[in-house]
Amino acid sequence: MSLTFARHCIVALTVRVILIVYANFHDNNFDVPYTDVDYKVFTDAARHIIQRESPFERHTYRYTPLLALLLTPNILLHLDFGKLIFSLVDILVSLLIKRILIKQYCTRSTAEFCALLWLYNPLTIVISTRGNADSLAVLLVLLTLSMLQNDNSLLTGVLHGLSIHFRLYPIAFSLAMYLSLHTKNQLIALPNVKQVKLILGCILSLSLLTASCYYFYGYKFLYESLIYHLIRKDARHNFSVYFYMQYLTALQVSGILQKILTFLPQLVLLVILSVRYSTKFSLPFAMFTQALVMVTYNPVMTSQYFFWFLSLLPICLTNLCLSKCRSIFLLGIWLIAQGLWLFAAYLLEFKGLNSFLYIWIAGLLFFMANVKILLDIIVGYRDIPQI
Amino acid sequence: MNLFGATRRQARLLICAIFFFLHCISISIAFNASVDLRVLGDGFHRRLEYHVNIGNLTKENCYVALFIEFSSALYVNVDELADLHRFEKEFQNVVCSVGETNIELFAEKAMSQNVTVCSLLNNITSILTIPIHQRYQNAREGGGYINVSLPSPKLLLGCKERVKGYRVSKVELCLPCADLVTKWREIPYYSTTCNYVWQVPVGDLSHLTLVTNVTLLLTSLGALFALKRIWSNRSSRSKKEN
Repeated sequence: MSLTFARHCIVALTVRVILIVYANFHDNNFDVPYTDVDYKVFTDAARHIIQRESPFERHTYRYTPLLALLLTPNILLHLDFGKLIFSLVDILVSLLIKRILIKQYCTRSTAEFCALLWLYNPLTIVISTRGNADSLAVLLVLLTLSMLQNDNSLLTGVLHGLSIHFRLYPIAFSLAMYLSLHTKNQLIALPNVKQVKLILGCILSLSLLTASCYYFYGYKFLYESLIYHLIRKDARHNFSVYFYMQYLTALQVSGILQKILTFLPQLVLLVILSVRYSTKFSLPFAMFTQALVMVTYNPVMTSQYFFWFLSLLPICLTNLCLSKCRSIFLLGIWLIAQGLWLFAAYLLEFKGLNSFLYIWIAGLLFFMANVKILLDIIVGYRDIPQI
Repeated sequence: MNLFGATRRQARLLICAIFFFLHCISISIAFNASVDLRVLGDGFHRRLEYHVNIGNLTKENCYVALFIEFSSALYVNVDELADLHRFEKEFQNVVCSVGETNIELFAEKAMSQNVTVCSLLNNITSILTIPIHQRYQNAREGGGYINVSLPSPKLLLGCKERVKGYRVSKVELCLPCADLVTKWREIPYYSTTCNYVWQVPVGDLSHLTLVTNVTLLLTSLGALFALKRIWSNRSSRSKKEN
């Protein structure tokens, strides 16, 4: 590497800034906009906050009010402020990846290489510069992991609570994190001091944040940012393998067997992965595979969800023994399956053609590609430090 | 009594009525209004461009508006409209709506929207643009497409000076269009393109059993394979360690 890591960060940030500027040109000149529709939602919610109204006045705002608060400079300073923040967060995430890997006995150069994979990942660059806020969620998850490595259980718990408040998905990492603090001679039923601190920290921050947001914005906050995500059944086209089934059954109340078969596979996999990879060393891998399972089995899936596992992949890479051929093959089937789905969805959404059946088949293929990646990654994982 | 058996008063009334009728026709013909619709884009998101032409309009400071009652199959996104008015300088006209604001509802559960688009009439021709989207519709046996007709708009003209010969409209326009002038008058117009049929694709309910069974089978198999792989990986590692 001829450039130092700091310079890579500057280059990566510059690329992002160029794309943010380009986004404005693109949005004004093309039918399909570059900027994510959610960015407009955040900005409108921020406008409501400035007008001393609830951010939930904005229809489809389903995030923490803290996000709208953070993005108030979108109105006060410049519309691109949020995108710049998300891009800076991308850089912070890469620094965290490097730090976590060094803690896991990686050499500095390997850690930097893995961090660069995040920094220059085209998906990462595009998602952040489109104005998607998931890089913030990723930052909180990695900060939690980093604190756990530093043996600061209370702060880990506090950060974990904040992560869950910000985005619900890190709740799935709770069991793996809790088990990773387990000591050898400890009874499984009785938590040790570190585990108690983790739980207390998490409950404390989560309940404080929830209570204070509830105080300001009432039940609408609870419903939109928490309950909605639990009961969500979006029957409009998305990457999820369940999309067409959900659309066809939109008029019906799903049977109990269908409900069980929809949620049980995901639940079982999440629990088993938590238990199987519960050592402190394997925790990043447990979280990565769990994130992959959550995204693969989610009843709703959009490209921003890929962030959940893509951010955890670099910290597992050093322990994955996959040949170059295998890696390229896996990446290839993932991209091809995604491309097929996108093409079928384009025909429906922008050409008005009835391509529901093709979207469903492409969704099945994409699901199979994700499962294939999960299987190969499990086989390729080595749970000892690869120095 | 005259030759036709009518009284003098009746004859006078008849003449007045004929004069009034001719007067109205002359004004209508004088305006010679036409509306042409162009639909830009295909699929879920389209842009309606109404080219409004009011020929022979001599008055100044006039506004033109179109009022359209969209069925629940189509919608304008009020947040998108607010954004367009806020940021897009090229977006000259104002669009507002009354009715359904939830953009996520299926057509069957949504209410209709009354949309008004208005603009200052600089020339005799104005282009009024509305960004519009289609809603998802419930699946049905056979799938295919459902035809949604775009309703013909009502053309309204409002000037600072009085426009004679056209009745004041009782249509309730939404704000801010409604407040641009004190009185809006409905203008008859000529159009050959306003009857536009929009085809909305819908899912095929006859696929339900196949789709449900294959989806649930595949997702369950995926989980079983993953569990098997986790288990076998653990066993082989234990053997190696032993």
